[in-house]
Amino acid sequence: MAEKLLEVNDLKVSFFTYAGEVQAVRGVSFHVNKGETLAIVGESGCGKSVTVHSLMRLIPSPPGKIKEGSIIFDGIDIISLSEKQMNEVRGSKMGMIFQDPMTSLNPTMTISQQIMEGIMRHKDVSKKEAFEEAIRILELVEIPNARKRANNYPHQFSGGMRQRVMIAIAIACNPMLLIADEPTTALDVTIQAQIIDLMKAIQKKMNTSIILITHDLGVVADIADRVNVMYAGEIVESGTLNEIFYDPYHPYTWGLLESVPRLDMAEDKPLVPIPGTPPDLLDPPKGCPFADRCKYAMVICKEQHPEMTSCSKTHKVSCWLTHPDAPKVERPLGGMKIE
Amino acid sequence: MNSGKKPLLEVKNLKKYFNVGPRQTLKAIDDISFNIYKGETFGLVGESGCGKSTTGRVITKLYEPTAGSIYYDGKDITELDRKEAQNYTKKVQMIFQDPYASLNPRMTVADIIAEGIDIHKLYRGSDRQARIYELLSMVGLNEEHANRFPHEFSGGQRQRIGIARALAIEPEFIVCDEPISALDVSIQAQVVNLLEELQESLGLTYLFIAHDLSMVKHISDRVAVMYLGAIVELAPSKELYKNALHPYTQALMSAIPIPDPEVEASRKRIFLSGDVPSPINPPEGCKFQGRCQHVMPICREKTPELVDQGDGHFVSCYLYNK
Amino acid sequence: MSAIELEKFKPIGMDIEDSERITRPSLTYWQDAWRRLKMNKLAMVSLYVLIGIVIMAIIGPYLRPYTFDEQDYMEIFSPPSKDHWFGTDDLGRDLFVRVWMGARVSLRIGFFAALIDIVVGMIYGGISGYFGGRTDDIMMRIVDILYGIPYMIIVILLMILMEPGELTLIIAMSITGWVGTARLVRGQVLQLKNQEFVLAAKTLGASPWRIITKHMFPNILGIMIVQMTMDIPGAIFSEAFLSYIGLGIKLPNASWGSLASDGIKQVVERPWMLIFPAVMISLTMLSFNILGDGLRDALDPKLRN
Repeated sequence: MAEKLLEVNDLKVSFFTYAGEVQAVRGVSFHVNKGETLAIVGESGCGKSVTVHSLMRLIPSPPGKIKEGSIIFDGIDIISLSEKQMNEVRGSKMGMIFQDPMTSLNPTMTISQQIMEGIMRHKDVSKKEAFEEAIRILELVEIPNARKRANNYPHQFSGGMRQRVMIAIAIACNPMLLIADEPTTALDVTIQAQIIDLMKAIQKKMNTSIILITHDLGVVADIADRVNVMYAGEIVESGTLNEIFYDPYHPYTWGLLESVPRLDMAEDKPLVPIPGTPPDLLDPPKGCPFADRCKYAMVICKEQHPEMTSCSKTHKVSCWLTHPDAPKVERPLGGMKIE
Repeated sequence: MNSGKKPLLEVKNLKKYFNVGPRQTLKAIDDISFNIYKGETFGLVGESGCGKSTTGRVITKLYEPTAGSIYYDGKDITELDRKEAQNYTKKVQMIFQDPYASLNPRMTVADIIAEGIDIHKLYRGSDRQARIYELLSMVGLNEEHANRFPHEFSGGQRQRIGIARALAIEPEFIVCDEPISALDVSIQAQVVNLLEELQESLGLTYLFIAHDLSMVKHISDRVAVMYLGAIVELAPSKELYKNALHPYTQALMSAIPIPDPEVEASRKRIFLSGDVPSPINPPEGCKFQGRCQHVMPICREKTPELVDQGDGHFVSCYLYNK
Repeated sequence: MSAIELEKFKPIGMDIEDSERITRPSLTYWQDAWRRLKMNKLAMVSLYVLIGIVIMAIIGPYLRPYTFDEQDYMEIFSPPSKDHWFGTDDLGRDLFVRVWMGARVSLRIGFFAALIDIVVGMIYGGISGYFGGRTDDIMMRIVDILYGIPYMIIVILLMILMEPGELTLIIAMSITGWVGTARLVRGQVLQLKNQEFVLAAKTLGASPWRIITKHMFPNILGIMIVQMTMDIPGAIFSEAFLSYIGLGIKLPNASWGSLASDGIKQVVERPWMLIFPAVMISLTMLSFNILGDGLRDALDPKLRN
């Protein structure tokens, strides 16, 4: 059925600092199917950004280094590519949208020039054709008066419009994979709703796969097909949208879901925060990284790292509670579904 | 509103304009009024540029208002003498948005927390030390952290240091200026719960400024929604979320995604077209007219009044003020 | 999977204390900057060269049995030798001693001129930036005017009005030298003024004095140190130049500039008279500039991670 576009296997990325090796990503494996949206959620510093930057080979080196693992994208081994070959892939087959629309655009170039840049590098077209293509894409991302505004500079656009331009640049060459690194975090909610809707529409039209990094579970519920939950440089749980929201197994996922307030519930449920702070990846714990903050922690959690266990064909979790000998705990999210 | 009780803070017809160029005025706050009662949490929400942070800064006297008055405990804070002003800073404190920019990177955590103690000469020597440790434990940190520098802490830990700094001089009223918007969700809940616990144990009153309506709904007793420098709706928080009246509030609420896939899939959105207009030379009449689906001729002529629709639910919209 | 003993599955609950623990060593800003500087080999070499020059300026004159103004007509223009390591000049004075005595004068002038620049510039720029508005307008116009006056004219005027010498040189250089620093500091203060930690101090009731000294200066000190390492060689060069054109140190005192000036007259027949002071000037300037660059990288908060 679903065809795999991207497959990441046991990816390990470290940053070598004065204090030692910071293991930002510690053995991450996942895949993305054609045309689907994979959301990666987790706290800042959990390695979600480093993971996707590795896919684009955007890890600054030094101090960063992809230590181990493989990234197979559309049949190509990304890690073995030369910088020049990688440039061919970036922009044409993979596009990226960054968090801050204010700083990711070049202030000295008009927006049409910035869109044309990518088109002309990857496609054999004349300048005029590239311009027409740029206009078409600006219309696609719903910039009003695209033809007129194409020659404006970024500062003449509002934050939401700039993010649309960023998306236009990212999709200019019909990429197969669109990586969105917290694309709406810097935006107001009403604008966020517009951008998410736009991304959905583009995906439908172009059948692009999307990897969305976010910490907003509302956005995830709105757009994702599958979800990876990351913690301390590892994927602790992965599954389909419904599995993660209605049938989660990992106490960290429970914690995430319980710590967000719901606008649609008349009666307030108390917020259950995840106490404490994630571990420093300079010296990650040898057992489960979440053990210190976990209400259900057992002796073994501190001593031995849990293995990935399958709960269903699509649902995997890395937690000792799934071990047959572990005590049965009542999952706190039985009542997550309303009515 | 809430007649009978005396408000702790009374904001009356407050305006704050900034001159941003020749004949250009940025109307950050354009005639707002509200009361905050002792012990309550008053939420102020709106999108960036709506004037909510400016309101907080005028109340903490970081900015001088252009017009209008603010009464704290019955006294106009714009007319305080030096000693009274010093006294006022002891009662009214602020928690800031950016946990990275709000702590001086060259000071130790102990000195940051003790700043207010030192300024007002509240404790010295070992008493000062003991007070610092007490404050650290109040916000869930410990003595070990006292001699470290801010950059060694995570965002949530830094925000708790900021809270300890504000609490050090035992204020009655705290302006929380987007204290959680820069934090991760799981950490947001930590900070919000801490604020709630502190409110209960210390009898604090909060002005809680945020753009995240779901968190504001959770923490606030009453909520005011701001748009382009004006309050468009003000109501008890449950009432507001059950029965939003102003078209802007309705759109804002519908834009917030719910962390529940089934609800999300079946929900209808009210889409607002375009962006928030610039607060420089805003439109005459109702500020929301340019994006409102229900706009009428009168909306373009006169600013609607904030009128009580019953039970302390105020709205400023001609759909309701016939 | 090998069997795991059942007791390993005993719940132990969470350990929040442990999760809040900070494992990294505590580094202050200055320790961190020093660590970065140490990684910069070239800057460290420059630092050692400068330390060497300073030590020699202190002890150098005592290493030889001569004084800087002791004339020996039997040893006029003697080239470098076992007795006179750097040779002698037209009056038979030992150049080794004179070069290190000159180093004292040159380094003193450089250091104090730069220090006065920094102190005056920080206070002036700090006040101007912090209070802003009309104060800022007026103070910055004064700076503009001072900037417009050619600095040479002021120096020459002062040299005529006052007794030529070290103090006059320092005053002459400082009288306009601080304006650049003042502008730099003002810019920094304007930036810091809207930082939330400064606003937080204001809401706590901090006085302007406290905000400027506790919150602003410590945060611009790094930049000021860089500025100073860049200012010192400038002042040393100015001194050399003024002494060279005869407006500086008066005989029999020596500075590197006046020694070079004497040496240039004999450059063809007695090159050592020029070479030693010239090498000192170049070496010092180069070292300060490289060290300044290294410090900039080490102290720049934007590059920290």
